[in-house]
This record gives sequence, structure tokens and C-alpha cells, in this order.
Amino acid sequence: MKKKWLSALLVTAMVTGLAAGCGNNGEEEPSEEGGKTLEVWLAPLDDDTEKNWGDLLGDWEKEHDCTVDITVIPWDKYQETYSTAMSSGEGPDVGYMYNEMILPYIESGAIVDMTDYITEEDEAEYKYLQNGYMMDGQYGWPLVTGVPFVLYYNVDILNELGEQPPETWDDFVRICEKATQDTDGDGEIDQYGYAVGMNTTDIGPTQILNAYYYSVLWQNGSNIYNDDMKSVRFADEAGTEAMTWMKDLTQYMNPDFMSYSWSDAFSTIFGEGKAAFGVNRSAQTDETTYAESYPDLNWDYVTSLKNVDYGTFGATDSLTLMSDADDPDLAMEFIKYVTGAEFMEQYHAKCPGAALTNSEPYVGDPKMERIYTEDTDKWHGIQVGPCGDEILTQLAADLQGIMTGELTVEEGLAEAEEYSNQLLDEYWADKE
Amino acid sequence: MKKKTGIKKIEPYLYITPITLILVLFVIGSVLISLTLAFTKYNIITPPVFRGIDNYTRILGDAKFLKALGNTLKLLVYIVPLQMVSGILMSVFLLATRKRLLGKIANCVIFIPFLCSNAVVGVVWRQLLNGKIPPVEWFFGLFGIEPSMLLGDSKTALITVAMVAIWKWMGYYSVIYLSGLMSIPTTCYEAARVDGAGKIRCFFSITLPMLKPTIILTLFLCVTTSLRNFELIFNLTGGGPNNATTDLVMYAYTLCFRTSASAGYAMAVSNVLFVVVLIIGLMQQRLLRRDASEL
Amino acid sequence: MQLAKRFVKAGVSDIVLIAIIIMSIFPFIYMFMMSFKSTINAFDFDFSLDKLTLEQYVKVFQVDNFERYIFNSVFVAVAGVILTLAVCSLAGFAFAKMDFKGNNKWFIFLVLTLIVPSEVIIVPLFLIARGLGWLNMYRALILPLPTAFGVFIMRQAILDVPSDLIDAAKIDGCGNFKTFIRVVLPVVRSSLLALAIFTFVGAWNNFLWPLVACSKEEMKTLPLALSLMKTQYNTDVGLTMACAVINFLPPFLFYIFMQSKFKEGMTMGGVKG
Repeated sequence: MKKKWLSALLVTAMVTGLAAGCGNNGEEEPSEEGGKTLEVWLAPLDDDTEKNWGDLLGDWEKEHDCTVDITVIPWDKYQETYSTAMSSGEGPDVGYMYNEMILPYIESGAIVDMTDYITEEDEAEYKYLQNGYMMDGQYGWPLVTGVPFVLYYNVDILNELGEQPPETWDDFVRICEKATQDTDGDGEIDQYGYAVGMNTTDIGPTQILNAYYYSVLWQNGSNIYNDDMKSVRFADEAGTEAMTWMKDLTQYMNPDFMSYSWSDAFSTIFGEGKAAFGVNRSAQTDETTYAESYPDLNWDYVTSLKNVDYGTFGATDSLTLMSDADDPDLAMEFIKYVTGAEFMEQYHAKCPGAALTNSEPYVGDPKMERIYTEDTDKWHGIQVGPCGDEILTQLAADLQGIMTGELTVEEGLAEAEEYSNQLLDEYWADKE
Repeated sequence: MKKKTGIKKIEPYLYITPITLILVLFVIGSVLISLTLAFTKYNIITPPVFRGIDNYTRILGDAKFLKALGNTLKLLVYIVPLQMVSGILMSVFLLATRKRLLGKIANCVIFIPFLCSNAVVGVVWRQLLNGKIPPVEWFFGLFGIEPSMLLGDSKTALITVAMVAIWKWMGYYSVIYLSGLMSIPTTCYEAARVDGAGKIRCFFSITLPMLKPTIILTLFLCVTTSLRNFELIFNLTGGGPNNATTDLVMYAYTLCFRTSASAGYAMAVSNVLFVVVLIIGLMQQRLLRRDASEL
Repeated sequence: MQLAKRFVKAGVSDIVLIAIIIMSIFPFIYMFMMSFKSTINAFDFDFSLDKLTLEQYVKVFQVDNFERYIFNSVFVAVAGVILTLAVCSLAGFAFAKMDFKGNNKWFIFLVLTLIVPSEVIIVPLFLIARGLGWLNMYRALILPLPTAFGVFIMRQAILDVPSDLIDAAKIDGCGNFKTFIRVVLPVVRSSLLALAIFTFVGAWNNFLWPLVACSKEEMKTLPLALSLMKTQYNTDVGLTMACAVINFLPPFLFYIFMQSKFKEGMTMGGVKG
């Protein structure tokens, strides 16, 4: 009796196991007659991406006799949505990926190299194509680039302190120190040097790296990976110094920085005039939007401070052509269209961003233009490297640990370094 | 005639087939897959590669795993005693005041948090603590606590998660204890009162011993539920800051679905948790059986 | 003196009761209040009456697929309840009143599956659903809902049904199934209702499994929709709270109307198990 039971169990288990192991790559349902559907997944690019894009795509859809089905994936579920969908063949035709996450998908063949689709005109027209060139192929087609995180300052506070806009780390620390004070005399500090928010519950954990960490790391001349990608570099001397400097800044930050996301910190502390400095993702229309959101704020910005070098984070997020795409040519045409001047000019009029092509004019506010002219070398994206997501997630966690004082700078960096190098060792060992 | 007995014979099996299929497919199937694939490296996209016990040896040296295991156990330590004690006291108090209007209201509303989904509880509490709300700030200010740092600081985040969990389950346990308390015959108390025992004395020498079966039952319930706080953690803190609230389930989830998919390793991690749960379950079986034989 | 003492005592217990009440419902009051406020600023806590508005609810129904989320939640919960009641009471009847080989062993085997917490098997469960091609389908959300716990409860309830009743039905010429439907189910309807409540609330509030099993927008349920209520980098607090209220309301209203049944249903695991 018992044996029968056992064998019956084993058989069921094997059947389910097999079914699960093999996966099924979902036979695509035959598309409804006539019009095709192009499935496009985007990240939240503005406050209502689906509508803003949808409104502009009507003509293109008619012209190509297809429907574009746009899905916006929220940041806090971004990776899991992609990984579950791709593993079950439920992925889109056109995806949207950022450098940290793209590598595994390239390696598993989920993304197509777009090199063959690039014409000479494209090369002349699209300014940032090289940003999407990685692992010897054009795997990404840059869509969002050039809205770097920049350092905003409160002009009134700086004037009151008799300070000029900061250029170096020393300037920055000096002003922060002076600015952190009790302005109404009740014995409690109510004005801070630096408005910071490092809570990541609502957004991906690596966003605090984007907002605060990369700039410091790069300005001190270090980087995430060593050039050979076989080990990480962020814990070297320059990296440690950068982290220490950042940790020391906590005394000038709003003490509850762990309860705000970076954007909340900017809007509720810097925006309300309670801090000398704040970091935000720049937009070309900041002049207009800030005048509405923060009418009393007299602000300006420096793109990047300089210690050893300049540097701040400007994302390069790319559209990707998925290998599951039913009609790659159509998908490719879509990619080129939405990154091209005609679409982007209209889109940027609503939701500003940097021009992606040479024929798209600058439409933003004059105050922000210098990011794209004289300061254009001061910002860039991060390296594409193996295990990017794991490494950066760990680094972000350790950054939080360091900033809250749970770990010392050395402990935190050592933990992240050990973890990352171990992953990289395994990764390269697998390759051989 | 013969045919009829044939049908009769298989009829009961027909009745139990649907649920058996469901449980074997989803539960037993999952356990077996988990045990098998834990020996592989599997990124859920390309086929699994057999790796022997690599995943288990990796566990031993994985600081993140140890932290997650530590957090799981810490949650247990924070939640279980407090939940038990507060549940008993609360139900005794509610029993004593159940005839009054306020008591009736309290009895009714205390169950509300338990009705609410973990997603809503997580979102609302996060907003409540982080939202700079004057009454909340005032209340925590009485104890010198800045509420917005409770979830933000890695030292307090886990305790805060535990408190929210206790808050959520409070109504549940007080209902269970109340039904236990109601089943204690009042004659016991009367007899004690005749002997001149005070209220506190009564509580320790009558109420607690009589509640013993309920207490053992809830102890195990409490232990198992405190291992299952994924949804709350996911919505309250997302596992942060610095993984301070990442428990084993959260860690396995992150491994499999968030970073580039180490499903094999994730299942090895889940299996460790499963063993813990299994041990607790077996202890419960044994204790309950002993308890039943005593009756 | 005695009287004064009693008053003080009553006063203290009143204060404690009020504290308990406030503690239990304050978060929900806050949730309701924020949902009636027109604000995008999470940190604004100014409630004057003229600022009350239904704007958030209008907005939340304009969110793409929102009606669909509600439908999904309702459909999954209702179908889950029906499925659970059907399979669990059938099996419970067989285990309680039918004599067959391996009755006890089979039952114990099923109950043993209760030891496995659903969170622990979430990864393999995902793989199974994927293997069957069920991801983003209602069946993936509904079929795993019945548990051995339901069988256990129904078996207990049906054991208490007097055998005379069943024998009488059989003498009247009812087969097993007819007896089950006509005689047994009406007698155990109270347990059925309790199990229905238990299953409904569990399915309605389920978060982890839909999160994993459904990547498509149009298959999401209400608890998942909560985290969609945000702008690019900020949670839209008013909108989130409106969605939270909608999520919270059905179990809450049911509870208000049948309190004791709810308490019984939702604590079944503790009292009887």
C-alpha cells in the first residue's frame, strides 16, 4: 500500500516538475485579423506616461495599421515584472531597460542586437546611440538621457551667508555647515545644509545611488567596477574617501533623512526653503514648474561639484527590441519613431527631456540649457557590468547602513565589496 | 447488483479526488520541485544546471542569508511573547467590560485590523508613521520618539514591523482567548471567591491553568504566523533599510524575482525555512496529542 | 468611599477602553480622511470641511483598468469561495460518513499539507503555474485557494450530523450524493458560511500570489493596484488611500452586518483546529 502511494506521488511530482522545468514559451494567440498589436512596456517617464504617449501615437498607429499597447511598470516592481514575464514568454515586443538590469537579458538572448537596423542617417541623427552600445552590440536604443541629477541651491540662503555658488567639495561643506542653524531661535535646528532622502520602500533601492552616491564617487575619481569588470572598485582608497565624506555630511542633513524618498526630501525640505542644497533630477522646464510648485523659492543649480573630477548621474535608459517580438521590423520602426524628432518634439513639449536627435531643437527653459551645452561632459550613465543589479542593490543597502550609523564606512564598503567580488568570481568562473 | 457495488466502491474516491488533485499538484508538487531544484543553478529563463549541494554550502557563507535568518528569528522573539501576553490581558479586560457600551464597541472594533489586507495595513501605517501627522507626532513625542524614523532607522525598523503585526493580529487572538475564557465555568471562580481569593490570585490559579489548551494552541499559531510576515514587510519597508527587515521569505523572493533570478538558490533558502516550520509543526502535533490524551 | 472607588475604577477602565478603540481604528480614520482630501502633498494634514471632496474617488476610477481590478478581486474571491466550499464539503462528507479503504490515512495525508506555509513554496508554485501555462489566468489565482483546512472543518461539521438523518434519507431512496445535497449541506450551513467567510477574506486580501502569478495589468487585483497609485517618483497619497478604502470596504461592511459569524469564520483555525 505504502509503495503504491509513494510511486503515485513520485509520478505526479515528476510530471509537474517536468512541466515546470521546461516552462512553456506561451504560444502567441493569433492576433486579431488585420491590425497588429505592438506591446510596449515603459517605466513611469512622467506622471501619466500611458496617456501622454498614447495621445501622440494615433497617427503612427493608423499609418502602420496596428495598435500600440503601452504598459507602464511601476518602479518598485520593475525587475520582478520583467523577470516573471520574460521567463514565461509573456514579455513585450519593445521593452524599456536601464543599464543595471540589462546584462542578464542580453546574455539569455531575450534582447536583440539592433546593429543591423541602423542606417547611416540614423547614425547621424541619433546623438546618443553609443550609450546603448554594450557587450559588442546595439542592445539599447537610448530613450531617456540627459536629465541628470544636479545640485540645486537656495540663492537666498547663500546670499544671507555671504557665499557664492559652490564649486568644490570644500565650498560645499563650508556652506552646509554655516547653513545648518536655528533660524527662529527656539533652540531647534530648522534649516539644514543638505536636504536628503534615502528611503527606498516605494522606489527601487538603487535610486539613492543615482541621486546621491554616484556623483560623490565619480567626483572623487573612483567608479563601480574596475575596467576589466572582474572586480569592483568602489571600495578603493578614493571610494572610501568619497563615502567618508558623504557620511560626514549627515550632520548637515535633515535628521529624518531615512524617512523621505529623495524626491520627497527635495520637495518638502529644499522646496520649502528649509535647506541650502537639494538634489533632484533636472528637467528642462524646472524654471516653469518650480515657479508653480515653490513660488517663494529663489533657486539655482550647479551641475556638478568638483573634487578630483566632475561627475553626476544622468540615466541612459533604453528601449530594447525583444527577441519575442512578433514583427521585429514594425517594432524597430516604432523605436525609431518614438525616439525621433517628430514624436519627441511633441512629447518634450509636455514632459521635457533632452533632445535625442540632432534635428530636435532645445525646447526647455533657458536657465537649464547649460546642462546640455557647457556642462555636457559633467554627467554620464553608469558602467554596464555583470551582476549589476545584485551589486548595486547590495551597495545601496550598505549605503543606508553606513548613513544611519549601523555600519562604519569601512565595514559597509567591505561588506559590499566582498559580496560583489564573490558574485563576479562566480560569474566569470561560469563563463570559462 | 454487482455493478452498483462497483460504483459504490469508487464513489468516495470521486468525492475526495478534486481536493487531492489540487493539494498534490500545488502543495506536494511545489515541495518536491523545491527540494529538487535547490540542487541546481536556475535563473528561471534558461534550463536549470545541476550543481549538487552548492546552494546549501553557499548558504553557510552568505551574510545576507544569516541576516535574513536572524531577522526571521528576531521577529519571532519580538512578536510571540508580546502577542500572547497582550492577547490574554486584552481578552480578560474585554470580558470584564463586555456589558458596557464602550466595552461592546471595543470588542467590535478590535477585530477590524485583522479584516484588512496586509497591503492596506502596510501602506496606511507607512504613511501614518512617515507622514508628519500632528496627532501621531504628538503621541510618539510623549515617548521621545520621532515616528518618521521608526521605519527609516535600521535599528528600529524590525521592531516597528513586529508592532504593526501585533496590532493587526490583536483582535484575532483576543477572540480566541475570549472563547477560551467563556468556557471556564463560573462556578470555579465562585468557589475561589468563597475561599477568599483575590482577583489577581484567581487569574493565576484559575484562569491561566484553565486556559492552558488555548494558550498552547495560540502559541503555535503565533509562532507560525510570525514567520509569515512577507506581505506586511513588502508593503511597509520593502525589506529595507539596509535589509534590516528582510526575512527569509523576502530574501527568497528577492533572489528569485528581483535580482537576476537565482531561483535555485532561492529554493534552497526556502527549504531552510521549511525545515524550521516543519520542526515547529511536529512539536505542535506532539504537544497537542499529549494534551488531548490528558483530557 | 466604596462608591467613589468604583467610579474611579470605572473611569480608568473607560480610559483604557477608549485607548483600545482609538488604537484599533485610528489608522482607518486617517485612511478615510486622506481619501476625501484633495491634495498631492503627503505631508499636509489640514482638514477643513470645505476641503473635503470626492475627487480622489473620481480619479481612482479613471485609472486605467480600475474597474477591471475590482472585477478581478470579486471574481477571484467569489469563485474561490464556491470552489472551496464544493471540494472541501465533498471531501469532508466522504471522510466523515463514508466507509472506504484508507479513509483515515488519506485524510491525515491531506491535513499534513497544512504544515507547508504558502510563502515557502511561492517560487515552485510560480514554476508550476508557468509550466501549465496558467500565468496571468484566473485559474492560477483561484485553483490554489482550497486547502486541507477546509476539508478538516467540513469533516468536523459533518461528523456531528446525526447518522439517523442520513440513514433516513437513504431509506427514502436517496443516493449518497442526493443525501449530501439535500440532508447534509443544510445541516452544516453554519460551518459552510464560516468557511466561506474565511476563504473570502483570505482570497480578497491575497497579495503575494497574485503579485507573482500576474504580470499583466489587466489581471491585477485590488491589493496590487495600491502600489500603482503613484506619480513618477511619488506615491499619490490621496489616490492610494481612496484605493485602500475600496479595498478595505467589502470585508469591513460584511463584518459590520455579521460580526459574530465573521469572528467565528476568521478564527476557525484557532478555536477548532
